[in-house]
Amino acid sequence: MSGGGSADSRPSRSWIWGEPLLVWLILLGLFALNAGMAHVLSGKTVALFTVSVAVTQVALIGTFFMRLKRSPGTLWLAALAGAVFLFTAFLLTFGDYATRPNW
Amino acid sequence: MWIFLATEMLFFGGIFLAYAVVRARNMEAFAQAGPHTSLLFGTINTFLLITSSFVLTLALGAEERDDHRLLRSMLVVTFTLGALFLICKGIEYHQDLEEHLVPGDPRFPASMPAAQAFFAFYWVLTGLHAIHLSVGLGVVGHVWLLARRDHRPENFRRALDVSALYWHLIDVFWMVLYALLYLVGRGA
Repeated sequence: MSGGGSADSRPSRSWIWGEPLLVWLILLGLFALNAGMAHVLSGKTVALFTVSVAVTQVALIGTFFMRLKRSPGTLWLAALAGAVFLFTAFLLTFGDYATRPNW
Repeated sequence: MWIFLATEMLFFGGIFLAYAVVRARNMEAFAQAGPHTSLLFGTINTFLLITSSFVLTLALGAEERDDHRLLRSMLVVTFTLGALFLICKGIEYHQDLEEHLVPGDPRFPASMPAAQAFFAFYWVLTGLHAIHLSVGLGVVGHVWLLARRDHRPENFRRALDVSALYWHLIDVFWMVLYALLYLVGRGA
């Protein structure tokens, strides 16, 4: 029975599970890595490492779970607006503190 | 919706910035205070939220495939995982209060003054996050009620997309909070 109707454009069941499952596993892996390395590293290194891993997780969630991957460029701009302003705030604040004497 | 998410990012971002400045000036005190947070509850809750985001993404896929039964099931699982998160958070808060981990408490366990600042950030950030998650539960619950109807409203798909974006944002904030609050001062 080949069926004579139009082709089914809906995503297949394997697609529904496949990509999200892979991203979920990567997120759990990064989570385990973060928790593990926090017990090994110390001082400024641990802060840098754990926040970097967290930012990677955020990027994965944004790209795949929030579906920015399939979104037009204008949506990327809107999504990045908050991140850009936040980065600017950090840059200006720490730029100020880092150039103060006795910091 | 993405503009709203950007404002939410800046709302939390301001507090993250304040945290970064205070931590940079008080590395030792934060390292002393950090291990007093419950790594067990923080880890369980991180697992719950990551999994809830995964399940909600499956719900979106189910909607695209017109698999209404799978959609409704995934929404119920997402809601349940979110509710479990709040229950764990409540137990953790109870434990924190019993251990006097409140700024200004005379029996606060860490000796360095700035350790109390760490817990000020802890209560504010996790409290705001819990409020956002409670709203998220309401939104997901509402979408589930819509999904159960025989005749779903025309804008159902949009409601589902918006609720998913909001839920994932809550997950995003938790990823950062876990790193900032639960993984501090654990190393040698």
